[in-house]
Amino acid sequence: MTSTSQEIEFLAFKINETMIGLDILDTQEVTKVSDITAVPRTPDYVEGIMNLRGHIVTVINTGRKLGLKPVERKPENQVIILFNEKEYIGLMIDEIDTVIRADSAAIGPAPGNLNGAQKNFFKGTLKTRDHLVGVLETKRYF
Amino acid sequence: MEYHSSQIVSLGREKYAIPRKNLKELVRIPAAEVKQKIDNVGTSPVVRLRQKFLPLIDLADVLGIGKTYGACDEQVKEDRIKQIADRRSLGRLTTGQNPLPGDKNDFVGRQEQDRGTSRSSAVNIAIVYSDAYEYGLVVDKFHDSEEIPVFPAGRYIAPSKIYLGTTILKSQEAALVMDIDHVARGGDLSRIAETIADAVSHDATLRPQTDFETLSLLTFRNAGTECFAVDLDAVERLERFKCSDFEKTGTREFVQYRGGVLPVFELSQAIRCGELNHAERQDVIVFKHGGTLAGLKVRPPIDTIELRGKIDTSIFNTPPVRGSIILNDNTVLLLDVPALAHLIQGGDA
Repeated sequence: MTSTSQEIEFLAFKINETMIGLDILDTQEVTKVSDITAVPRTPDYVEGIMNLRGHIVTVINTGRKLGLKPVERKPENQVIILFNEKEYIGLMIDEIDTVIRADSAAIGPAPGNLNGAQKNFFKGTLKTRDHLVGVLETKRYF
Repeated sequence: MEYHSSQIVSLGREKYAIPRKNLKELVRIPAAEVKQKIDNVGTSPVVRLRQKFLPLIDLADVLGIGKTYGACDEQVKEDRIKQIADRRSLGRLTTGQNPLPGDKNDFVGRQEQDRGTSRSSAVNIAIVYSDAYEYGLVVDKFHDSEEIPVFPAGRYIAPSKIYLGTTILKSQEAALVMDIDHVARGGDLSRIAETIADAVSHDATLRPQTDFETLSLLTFRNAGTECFAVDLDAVERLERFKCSDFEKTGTREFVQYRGGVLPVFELSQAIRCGELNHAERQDVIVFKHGGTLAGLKVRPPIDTIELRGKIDTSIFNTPPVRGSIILNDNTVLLLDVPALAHLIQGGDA
Protein backbone atom coordinates (compact mmCIF):
# COMPACT_ATOMS: atom_id res chain seq x y z
CA MET A 1 0.00 0.00 0.00
CA THR A 2 1.04 3.59 -0.43
CA SER A 3 3.05 5.19 2.33
CA THR A 4 1.22 8.51 2.18
CA SER A 5 -2.31 7.88 3.29
CA GLN A 6 -5.24 9.26 1.38
CA GLU A 7 -8.99 8.80 1.54
CA ILE A 8 -10.48 6.35 -0.93
CA GLU A 9 -14.16 5.79 -1.68
CA PHE A 10 -15.41 2.30 -2.27
CA LEU A 11 -18.66 1.10 -3.78
CA ALA A 12 -19.62 -1.92 -1.72
CA PHE A 13 -22.10 -4.66 -2.54
CA LYS A 14 -22.91 -8.08 -1.22
CA ILE A 15 -22.97 -11.35 -3.02
CA ASN A 16 -24.70 -13.71 -0.69
CA GLU A 17 -23.00 -12.66 2.57
CA THR A 18 -19.69 -11.70 1.04
CA MET A 19 -18.97 -7.99 1.04
CA ILE A 20 -17.11 -6.75 -2.03
CA GLY A 21 -15.80 -3.29 -2.77
CA LEU A 22 -14.49 -1.42 -5.78
CA ASP A 23 -12.43 1.73 -5.80
CA ILE A 24 -14.88 4.30 -7.11
CA LEU A 25 -12.14 5.67 -9.36
CA ASP A 26 -12.02 2.30 -11.16
CA THR A 27 -15.66 2.63 -12.16
CA GLN A 28 -17.48 4.74 -14.75
CA GLU A 29 -20.98 4.70 -13.34
CA VAL A 30 -23.63 2.51 -11.81
CA THR A 31 -26.76 1.93 -13.84
CA LYS A 32 -29.93 -0.12 -13.67
CA VAL A 33 -29.87 -3.23 -15.74
CA SER A 34 -31.67 -2.83 -19.08
CA ASP A 35 -32.52 -5.45 -21.71
CA ILE A 36 -29.68 -7.93 -21.89
CA THR A 37 -29.11 -9.90 -25.07
CA ALA A 38 -27.74 -13.37 -24.37
CA VAL A 39 -24.45 -14.29 -26.05
CA PRO A 40 -24.37 -18.04 -26.68
CA ARG A 41 -21.01 -19.86 -26.84
CA THR A 42 -19.37 -17.70 -24.20
CA PRO A 43 -18.39 -18.59 -20.61
CA ASP A 44 -21.35 -19.08 -18.25
CA TYR A 45 -20.51 -15.90 -16.30
CA VAL A 46 -21.15 -13.78 -19.42
CA GLU A 47 -24.69 -12.64 -18.82
CA GLY A 48 -24.94 -10.97 -22.23
CA ILE A 49 -24.62 -7.56 -23.86
CA MET A 50 -26.62 -4.41 -23.33
CA ASN A 51 -26.92 -1.00 -24.92
CA LEU A 52 -25.72 1.81 -22.71
CA ARG A 53 -26.49 5.04 -24.55
CA GLY A 54 -25.12 3.73 -27.83
CA HIS A 55 -22.24 1.74 -26.37
CA ILE A 56 -22.15 -2.04 -26.05
CA VAL A 57 -21.53 -3.25 -22.51
CA THR A 58 -20.60 -6.88 -21.88
CA VAL A 59 -22.44 -7.77 -18.69
CA ILE A 60 -20.76 -10.20 -16.30
CA ASN A 61 -22.58 -12.13 -13.60
CA THR A 62 -20.28 -11.03 -10.81
CA GLY A 63 -21.23 -13.85 -8.45
CA ARG A 64 -20.54 -16.50 -11.05
CA LYS A 65 -17.30 -14.93 -12.20
CA LEU A 66 -15.94 -14.80 -8.64
CA GLY A 67 -16.99 -18.36 -7.89
CA LEU A 68 -19.66 -17.22 -5.42
CA LYS A 69 -23.43 -17.62 -5.65
CA PRO A 70 -24.66 -16.44 -9.07
CA VAL A 71 -26.46 -13.09 -9.05
CA GLU A 72 -30.09 -13.76 -9.84
CA ARG A 73 -31.54 -11.80 -12.80
CA LYS A 74 -34.29 -9.39 -11.83
CA PRO A 75 -35.40 -5.96 -13.02
CA GLU A 76 -33.84 -4.24 -9.98
CA ASN A 77 -30.30 -5.50 -10.72
CA GLN A 78 -27.65 -2.84 -10.88
CA VAL A 79 -24.66 -2.86 -13.19
CA ILE A 80 -21.34 -1.29 -12.28
CA ILE A 81 -19.76 -0.05 -15.49
CA LEU A 82 -16.01 -0.34 -15.98
CA PHE A 83 -14.02 0.83 -18.97
CA ASN A 84 -11.14 -1.58 -19.52
CA GLU A 85 -8.84 -1.59 -22.52
CA LYS A 86 -11.22 0.16 -24.91
CA GLU A 87 -14.34 -1.75 -23.93
CA TYR A 88 -17.17 -1.44 -21.46
CA ILE A 89 -17.65 -4.22 -18.95
CA GLY A 90 -20.67 -4.29 -16.65
CA LEU A 91 -20.60 -6.10 -13.32
CA MET A 92 -24.14 -7.21 -12.59
CA ILE A 93 -24.97 -7.17 -8.88
CA ASP A 94 -28.12 -7.09 -6.75
CA GLU A 95 -27.53 -3.53 -5.63
CA ILE A 96 -24.93 -1.20 -4.21
CA ASP A 97 -25.11 -1.72 -0.48
CA THR A 98 -23.12 1.25 0.71
CA VAL A 99 -20.33 3.66 -0.11
CA ILE A 100 -17.40 3.29 2.26
CA ARG A 101 -14.85 6.04 2.81
CA ALA A 102 -11.60 4.72 4.13
CA ASP A 103 -8.02 5.72 4.52
CA SER A 104 -5.75 3.92 2.08
CA ALA A 105 -3.70 2.82 5.09
CA ALA A 106 -6.70 0.78 6.25
CA ILE A 107 -6.37 -1.59 3.30
CA GLY A 108 -4.69 -4.82 4.20
CA PRO A 109 -3.31 -7.56 2.00
CA ALA A 110 -5.64 -9.61 -0.21
CA PRO A 111 -7.65 -12.21 1.65
CA GLY A 112 -6.46 -15.78 1.39
CA ASN A 113 -9.96 -16.90 0.67
CA LEU A 114 -13.15 -14.89 0.80
CA ASN A 115 -16.01 -17.34 1.27
CA GLY A 116 -14.76 -19.38 -1.65
CA ALA A 117 -14.03 -16.49 -4.02
CA GLN A 118 -10.65 -16.79 -5.67
CA LYS A 119 -7.90 -14.82 -4.05
CA ASN A 120 -6.63 -13.54 -7.40
CA PHE A 121 -9.63 -11.34 -7.96
CA PHE A 122 -8.82 -9.15 -4.97
CA LYS A 123 -6.14 -6.59 -4.48
CA GLY A 124 -6.73 -6.03 -0.81
CA THR A 125 -8.97 -6.26 2.23
CA LEU A 126 -10.72 -3.42 3.93
CA LYS A 127 -11.74 -3.78 7.54
CA THR A 128 -14.59 -1.58 8.69
CA ARG A 129 -16.43 -1.62 11.99
CA ASP A 130 -19.11 -3.95 10.59
CA HIS A 131 -17.54 -5.73 7.68
CA LEU A 132 -14.60 -7.33 6.05
CA VAL A 133 -14.61 -6.08 2.47
CA GLY A 134 -12.72 -7.72 -0.37
CA VAL A 135 -11.45 -5.00 -2.71
CA LEU A 136 -11.70 -6.11 -6.35
CA GLU A 137 -8.81 -5.89 -8.73
CA THR A 138 -10.80 -4.69 -11.73
CA LYS A 139 -8.11 -4.12 -14.32
CA ARG A 140 -6.57 -7.54 -14.52
CA TYR A 141 -9.56 -9.79 -14.18
CA PHE A 142 -12.48 -8.06 -15.86
CA MET B 1 -16.83 2.70 -36.58
CA GLU B 2 -17.76 0.34 -39.38
CA TYR B 3 -21.28 0.30 -40.73
CA HIS B 4 -22.61 -2.82 -42.42
CA SER B 5 -25.80 -3.33 -44.33
CA SER B 6 -27.25 -6.38 -42.61
CA GLN B 7 -30.20 -8.69 -42.66
CA ILE B 8 -31.77 -9.12 -39.24
CA VAL B 9 -33.03 -12.58 -38.32
CA SER B 10 -34.20 -14.03 -35.05
CA LEU B 11 -33.98 -17.21 -33.11
CA GLY B 12 -36.23 -17.47 -30.11
CA ARG B 13 -36.37 -13.95 -28.76
CA GLU B 14 -32.92 -12.84 -29.76
CA LYS B 15 -32.08 -11.07 -32.98
CA TYR B 16 -28.93 -11.66 -34.98
CA ALA B 17 -27.46 -9.74 -37.89
CA ILE B 18 -26.17 -11.34 -41.10
CA PRO B 19 -23.97 -9.04 -43.20
CA ARG B 20 -25.66 -8.45 -46.54
CA LYS B 21 -22.41 -9.09 -48.37
CA ASN B 22 -22.78 -12.72 -47.26
CA LEU B 23 -26.46 -12.97 -48.10
CA LYS B 24 -27.76 -14.37 -51.36
CA GLU B 25 -31.47 -14.62 -50.66
CA LEU B 26 -34.10 -15.43 -48.08
CA VAL B 27 -36.11 -18.57 -48.65
CA ARG B 28 -39.23 -19.59 -46.82
CA ILE B 29 -40.18 -23.24 -47.27
CA PRO B 30 -43.92 -23.53 -46.54
CA ALA B 31 -44.87 -26.30 -44.10
CA ALA B 32 -46.46 -28.33 -46.91
CA GLU B 33 -43.23 -28.36 -48.93
CA VAL B 34 -40.77 -29.10 -46.15
CA LYS B 35 -40.83 -32.84 -46.78
CA GLN B 36 -40.04 -32.34 -50.45
CA LYS B 37 -37.41 -29.69 -50.15
CA ILE B 38 -35.52 -30.45 -46.95
CA ASP B 39 -33.88 -33.78 -46.51
CA ASN B 40 -30.76 -35.55 -45.42
CA VAL B 41 -27.90 -36.58 -47.63
CA GLY B 42 -26.05 -39.02 -45.47
CA THR B 43 -26.59 -37.51 -42.07
CA SER B 44 -26.41 -33.92 -43.27
CA PRO B 45 -29.51 -31.85 -43.77
CA VAL B 46 -29.80 -30.23 -47.18
CA VAL B 47 -32.30 -28.05 -48.97
CA ARG B 48 -33.19 -28.55 -52.61
CA LEU B 49 -33.31 -25.24 -54.34
CA ARG B 50 -33.71 -24.92 -58.09
CA GLN B 51 -32.23 -28.35 -58.80
CA LYS B 52 -29.33 -27.76 -56.48
CA PHE B 53 -28.65 -29.14 -53.02
CA LEU B 54 -27.34 -26.76 -50.45
CA PRO B 55 -26.11 -27.87 -47.04
CA LEU B 56 -28.15 -26.57 -44.15
CA ILE B 57 -26.77 -25.30 -40.88
CA ASP B 58 -29.22 -24.61 -38.08
CA LEU B 59 -28.37 -21.37 -36.33
CA ALA B 60 -29.68 -22.98 -33.13
CA ASP B 61 -26.98 -25.66 -33.40
CA VAL B 62 -24.32 -23.08 -34.12
CA LEU B 63 -25.31 -21.24 -30.97
CA GLY B 64 -25.85 -24.39 -28.94
CA ILE B 65 -29.33 -23.24 -28.11
CA GLY B 66 -31.78 -25.74 -26.75
CA LYS B 67 -29.41 -27.08 -24.14
CA THR B 68 -28.11 -24.01 -22.42
CA TYR B 69 -30.26 -21.20 -23.68
CA GLY B 70 -31.89 -19.38 -20.82
CA ALA B 71 -33.15 -16.17 -22.33
CA CYS B 72 -36.18 -17.37 -24.26
CA ASP B 73 -39.45 -18.24 -22.63
CA GLU B 74 -40.75 -21.77 -22.29
CA GLN B 75 -43.11 -21.60 -25.26
CA VAL B 76 -40.44 -20.39 -27.64
CA LYS B 77 -38.05 -23.02 -26.32
CA GLU B 78 -40.59 -25.81 -26.73
CA ASP B 79 -41.39 -24.69 -30.26
CA ARG B 80 -37.73 -24.82 -31.14
CA ILE B 81 -37.18 -28.22 -29.67
CA LYS B 82 -40.21 -29.50 -31.56
CA GLN B 83 -38.99 -27.94 -34.79
CA ILE B 84 -35.54 -29.41 -34.46
CA ALA B 85 -37.05 -32.80 -33.66
CA ASP B 86 -39.31 -32.53 -36.70
CA ARG B 87 -36.37 -31.77 -38.87
CA ARG B 88 -34.32 -34.63 -37.47
CA SER B 89 -37.09 -37.11 -38.16
CA LEU B 90 -37.06 -36.41 -41.87
CA GLY B 91 -36.41 -39.54 -43.87
CA ARG B 92 -33.16 -40.25 -45.57
CA LEU B 93 -33.06 -39.28 -49.18
CA THR B 94 -33.51 -42.69 -50.74
CA THR B 95 -35.83 -42.38 -53.68
CA GLY B 96 -36.20 -39.93 -56.50
CA GLN B 97 -38.34 -36.95 -55.85
CA ASN B 98 -40.41 -34.62 -57.90
CA PRO B 99 -40.52 -31.04 -56.74
CA LEU B 100 -44.15 -30.70 -57.72
CA PRO B 101 -46.43 -30.97 -54.70
CA GLY B 102 -48.89 -33.83 -54.57
CA ASP B 103 -46.67 -36.32 -56.30
CA LYS B 104 -47.18 -39.91 -55.16
CA ASN B 105 -43.52 -40.70 -55.41
CA ASP B 106 -42.37 -40.06 -51.88
CA PHE B 107 -39.70 -40.86 -49.34
CA VAL B 108 -39.29 -44.22 -47.72
CA GLY B 109 -39.24 -42.59 -44.32
CA ARG B 110 -42.65 -41.07 -44.90
CA GLN B 111 -44.76 -43.48 -42.88
CA GLU B 112 -42.55 -43.10 -39.89
CA GLN B 113 -42.85 -39.34 -40.09
CA ASP B 114 -46.61 -39.44 -40.37
CA ARG B 115 -46.95 -41.40 -37.17
CA GLY B 116 -45.93 -38.37 -35.22
CA THR B 117 -47.57 -34.99 -35.39
CA SER B 118 -47.35 -33.47 -38.82
CA ARG B 119 -45.05 -30.53 -39.25
CA SER B 120 -46.95 -27.35 -38.65
CA SER B 121 -44.44 -24.63 -39.33
CA ALA B 122 -42.58 -23.31 -42.32
CA VAL B 123 -38.78 -23.26 -42.34
CA ASN B 124 -36.98 -19.99 -42.90
CA ILE B 125 -33.57 -20.23 -44.52
CA ALA B 126 -31.09 -17.46 -45.21
CA ILE B 127 -29.00 -18.57 -48.18
CA VAL B 128 -25.51 -17.23 -47.52
CA TYR B 129 -22.06 -17.27 -49.10
CA SER B 130 -19.05 -18.00 -46.98
CA ASP B 131 -15.54 -17.62 -48.38
CA ALA B 132 -15.71 -21.16 -49.76
CA TYR B 133 -19.31 -22.37 -49.73
CA GLU B 134 -22.89 -21.43 -50.27
CA TYR B 135 -25.18 -22.78 -47.59
CA GLY B 136 -28.53 -22.32 -45.92
CA LEU B 137 -28.72 -20.97 -42.39
CA VAL B 138 -31.95 -22.01 -40.70
CA VAL B 139 -33.47 -19.31 -38.50
CA ASP B 140 -36.83 -18.74 -36.84
CA LYS B 141 -37.82 -15.45 -38.44
CA PHE B 142 -36.71 -12.86 -40.94
CA HIS B 143 -36.87 -9.19 -40.03
CA ASP B 144 -35.87 -6.03 -41.91
CA SER B 145 -32.48 -5.26 -43.28
CA GLU B 146 -30.72 -2.43 -41.48
CA GLU B 147 -27.64 -0.29 -41.79
CA ILE B 148 -25.94 -1.08 -38.47
CA PRO B 149 -22.75 -0.07 -36.66
CA VAL B 150 -20.49 -3.04 -36.01
CA PHE B 151 -18.48 -2.89 -32.80
CA PRO B 152 -15.55 -5.26 -32.39
CA ALA B 153 -16.38 -8.36 -30.35
CA GLY B 154 -14.96 -7.76 -26.87
CA ARG B 155 -12.59 -9.97 -24.92
CA TYR B 156 -15.34 -12.26 -23.65
CA ILE B 157 -17.08 -12.65 -27.01
CA ALA B 158 -14.22 -12.75 -29.52
CA PRO B 159 -12.85 -16.18 -28.48
CA SER B 160 -16.00 -17.92 -29.72
CA LYS B 161 -15.16 -16.71 -33.27
CA ILE B 162 -18.69 -17.16 -34.65
CA TYR B 163 -19.39 -13.47 -34.10
CA LEU B 164 -18.06 -10.74 -36.34
CA GLY B 165 -18.95 -8.25 -33.63
CA THR B 166 -21.79 -6.65 -31.76
CA THR B 167 -24.26 -4.01 -32.78
CA ILE B 168 -27.13 -1.81 -31.72
CA LEU B 169 -30.24 -2.17 -33.83
CA LYS B 170 -32.62 0.62 -34.82
CA SER B 171 -34.88 -0.64 -32.04
CA GLN B 172 -31.97 0.10 -29.63
CA GLU B 173 -31.56 -3.58 -28.79
CA ALA B 174 -28.04 -4.90 -28.47
CA ALA B 175 -27.46 -7.75 -30.91
CA LEU B 176 -24.76 -10.03 -32.29
CA VAL B 177 -23.40 -9.95 -35.82
CA MET B 178 -22.69 -13.45 -37.18
CA ASP B 179 -19.42 -14.33 -38.89
CA ILE B 180 -20.75 -16.38 -41.79
CA ASP B 181 -17.28 -17.68 -42.76
CA HIS B 182 -16.62 -19.03 -39.28
CA VAL B 183 -20.07 -20.55 -38.99
CA ALA B 184 -19.34 -22.43 -42.23
CA ARG B 185 -16.03 -23.70 -40.89
CA GLY B 186 -17.77 -25.13 -37.85
CA GLY B 187 -20.34 -26.84 -40.06
CA ASP B 188 -17.88 -29.17 -41.80
CA LEU B 189 -19.24 -28.10 -45.17
CA SER B 190 -16.46 -29.59 -47.27
CA ARG B 191 -17.51 -33.08 -46.13
CA ILE B 192 -21.19 -32.30 -46.77
CA ALA B 193 -20.44 -30.93 -50.24
CA GLU B 194 -18.57 -34.14 -51.07
CA THR B 195 -21.43 -36.26 -49.77
CA ILE B 196 -23.90 -34.33 -51.90
CA ALA B 197 -21.74 -34.64 -55.03
CA ASP B 198 -21.36 -38.34 -54.33
CA ALA B 199 -25.09 -38.89 -53.82
CA VAL B 200 -25.92 -37.03 -57.03
CA SER B 201 -23.37 -38.98 -59.07
CA HIS B 202 -24.80 -42.30 -57.88
CA ASP B 203 -28.45 -41.50 -58.27
CA ALA B 204 -29.66 -40.20 -61.60
CA THR B 205 -33.02 -39.17 -60.16
CA LEU B 206 -31.28 -36.50 -58.12
CA ARG B 207 -29.90 -34.85 -61.20
CA PRO B 208 -31.79 -32.19 -63.09
CA GLN B 209 -33.68 -33.70 -66.00
CA THR B 210 -32.44 -32.45 -69.30
CA ASP B 211 -35.66 -32.16 -71.25
CA PHE B 212 -37.73 -30.41 -68.66
CA GLU B 213 -36.08 -28.02 -66.32
CA THR B 214 -37.33 -26.29 -63.24
CA LEU B 215 -37.46 -22.61 -63.98
CA SER B 216 -37.47 -20.00 -61.27
CA LEU B 217 -38.45 -16.83 -62.98
CA LEU B 218 -39.26 -13.26 -62.26
CA THR B 219 -41.97 -12.13 -64.66
CA PHE B 220 -42.81 -8.53 -65.47
CA ARG B 221 -44.44 -6.34 -68.07
CA ASN B 222 -42.83 -3.90 -70.42
CA ALA B 223 -44.95 -1.51 -72.51
CA GLY B 224 -48.57 -2.52 -73.03
CA THR B 225 -49.10 -6.24 -72.58
CA GLU B 226 -45.53 -7.29 -73.42
CA CYS B 227 -44.50 -9.98 -70.92
CA PHE B 228 -40.92 -10.85 -70.10
CA ALA B 229 -39.12 -12.98 -67.58
CA VAL B 230 -35.60 -13.31 -66.22
CA ASP B 231 -33.91 -16.00 -64.15
CA LEU B 232 -34.64 -15.24 -60.52
CA ASP B 233 -31.04 -16.12 -59.70
CA ALA B 234 -29.83 -13.10 -61.65
CA VAL B 235 -32.00 -10.66 -59.72
CA GLU B 236 -30.38 -8.82 -56.89
CA ARG B 237 -33.37 -6.80 -55.66
CA LEU B 238 -36.57 -5.10 -56.66
CA GLU B 239 -36.77 -1.38 -56.04
CA ARG B 240 -39.33 1.32 -56.59
CA PHE B 241 -38.19 4.88 -57.28
CA LYS B 242 -40.02 8.16 -57.61
CA CYS B 243 -39.75 9.65 -61.06
CA SER B 244 -37.86 12.60 -59.54
CA ASP B 245 -35.12 10.18 -58.36
CA PHE B 246 -33.93 9.61 -61.92
CA GLU B 247 -31.06 11.72 -63.21
CA LYS B 248 -29.65 11.96 -66.71
CA THR B 249 -26.23 12.64 -68.20
CA GLY B 250 -26.32 12.52 -71.97
CA THR B 251 -28.17 9.35 -72.84
CA ARG B 252 -27.28 7.68 -69.57
CA GLU B 253 -29.87 7.51 -66.88
CA PHE B 254 -29.16 6.66 -63.27
CA VAL B 255 -30.39 6.87 -59.68
CA GLN B 256 -28.49 7.28 -56.45
CA TYR B 257 -28.57 3.94 -54.76
CA ARG B 258 -27.05 2.65 -51.51
CA GLY B 259 -24.41 5.32 -51.45
CA GLY B 260 -23.48 4.84 -55.10
CA VAL B 261 -24.89 5.26 -58.57
CA LEU B 262 -27.11 2.71 -60.25
CA PRO B 263 -27.25 2.92 -64.05
CA VAL B 264 -30.82 2.40 -65.21
CA PHE B 265 -32.11 1.44 -68.61
CA GLU B 266 -35.28 0.23 -70.22
CA LEU B 267 -35.76 -2.77 -72.42
CA SER B 268 -36.40 -0.78 -75.57
CA GLN B 269 -32.75 0.34 -75.42
CA ALA B 270 -31.63 -3.26 -75.86
CA ILE B 271 -34.22 -5.01 -78.00
CA ARG B 272 -37.01 -4.05 -80.32
CA CYS B 273 -40.01 -3.56 -78.08
CA GLY B 274 -42.35 -0.84 -76.83
CA GLU B 275 -41.08 2.21 -74.92
CA LEU B 276 -42.33 2.77 -71.39
CA ASN B 277 -44.69 5.59 -70.61
CA HIS B 278 -43.82 8.06 -67.89
CA ALA B 279 -44.92 6.89 -64.43
CA GLU B 280 -44.94 8.57 -61.00
CA ARG B 281 -43.56 5.42 -59.39
CA GLN B 282 -41.11 3.36 -61.37
CA ASP B 283 -40.34 -0.29 -60.57
CA VAL B 284 -36.74 -1.27 -61.21
CA ILE B 285 -35.23 -4.74 -61.24
CA VAL B 286 -31.66 -4.56 -59.96
CA PHE B 287 -29.26 -7.05 -61.54
CA LYS B 288 -25.75 -7.91 -60.63
CA HIS B 289 -23.44 -8.59 -63.51
CA GLY B 290 -19.68 -8.86 -63.32
CA GLY B 291 -19.60 -7.23 -59.91
CA THR B 292 -21.58 -4.15 -60.92
CA LEU B 293 -25.25 -3.40 -60.51
CA ALA B 294 -27.64 -2.23 -63.20
CA GLY B 295 -31.34 -1.45 -63.09
CA LEU B 296 -34.03 -2.34 -65.59
CA LYS B 297 -37.23 -0.28 -65.61
CA VAL B 298 -40.30 -2.47 -65.72
CA ARG B 299 -44.05 -2.35 -65.22
CA PRO B 300 -46.07 -4.36 -62.74
CA PRO B 301 -47.37 -6.94 -62.18
CA ILE B 302 -44.00 -8.33 -61.12
CA ASP B 303 -44.20 -11.89 -59.96
CA THR B 304 -41.99 -14.84 -59.15
CA ILE B 305 -42.93 -18.25 -60.48
CA GLU B 306 -41.43 -21.69 -60.31
CA LEU B 307 -42.42 -24.12 -63.01
CA ARG B 308 -41.26 -27.23 -64.72
CA GLY B 309 -41.29 -26.99 -68.44
CA LYS B 310 -39.45 -26.67 -71.66
CA ILE B 311 -38.32 -23.40 -73.10
CA ASP B 312 -39.42 -22.96 -76.71
CA THR B 313 -36.42 -21.71 -78.65
CA SER B 314 -37.87 -22.17 -82.14
CA ILE B 315 -39.13 -18.64 -82.74
CA PHE B 316 -37.73 -16.20 -80.21
CA ASN B 317 -34.06 -17.00 -79.98
CA THR B 318 -32.03 -13.91 -80.73
CA PRO B 319 -29.94 -12.88 -77.70
CA PRO B 320 -30.65 -11.49 -75.23
CA VAL B 321 -33.95 -13.36 -75.74
CA ARG B 322 -33.28 -17.04 -75.07
CA GLY B 323 -36.74 -18.42 -75.76
CA SER B 324 -40.36 -18.26 -74.81
CA ILE B 325 -42.84 -20.01 -72.58
CA ILE B 326 -46.61 -19.87 -72.37
CA LEU B 327 -47.88 -18.68 -69.03
CA ASN B 328 -51.59 -18.11 -68.33
CA ASP B 329 -52.25 -17.88 -72.07
CA ASN B 330 -49.61 -15.19 -72.45
CA THR B 331 -46.39 -15.61 -74.35
CA VAL B 332 -43.54 -14.70 -72.04
CA LEU B 333 -40.11 -13.98 -73.50
CA LEU B 334 -37.18 -15.19 -71.43
CA LEU B 335 -34.27 -12.78 -71.22
CA ASP B 336 -30.71 -13.83 -70.63
CA VAL B 337 -29.32 -11.38 -68.12
CA PRO B 338 -25.59 -11.63 -68.98
CA ALA B 339 -26.41 -11.09 -72.68
CA LEU B 340 -28.70 -8.21 -71.79
CA ALA B 341 -26.05 -6.61 -69.58
CA HIS B 342 -23.48 -7.05 -72.32
CA LEU B 343 -25.71 -5.26 -74.83
CA ILE B 344 -26.45 -2.40 -72.47
CA GLN B 345 -22.87 -1.94 -71.31
CA GLY B 346 -21.68 -2.20 -74.91
CA GLY B 347 -24.16 0.44 -75.92
CA ASP B 348 -23.04 2.62 -73.06
CA ALA B 349 -19.39 2.68 -73.94
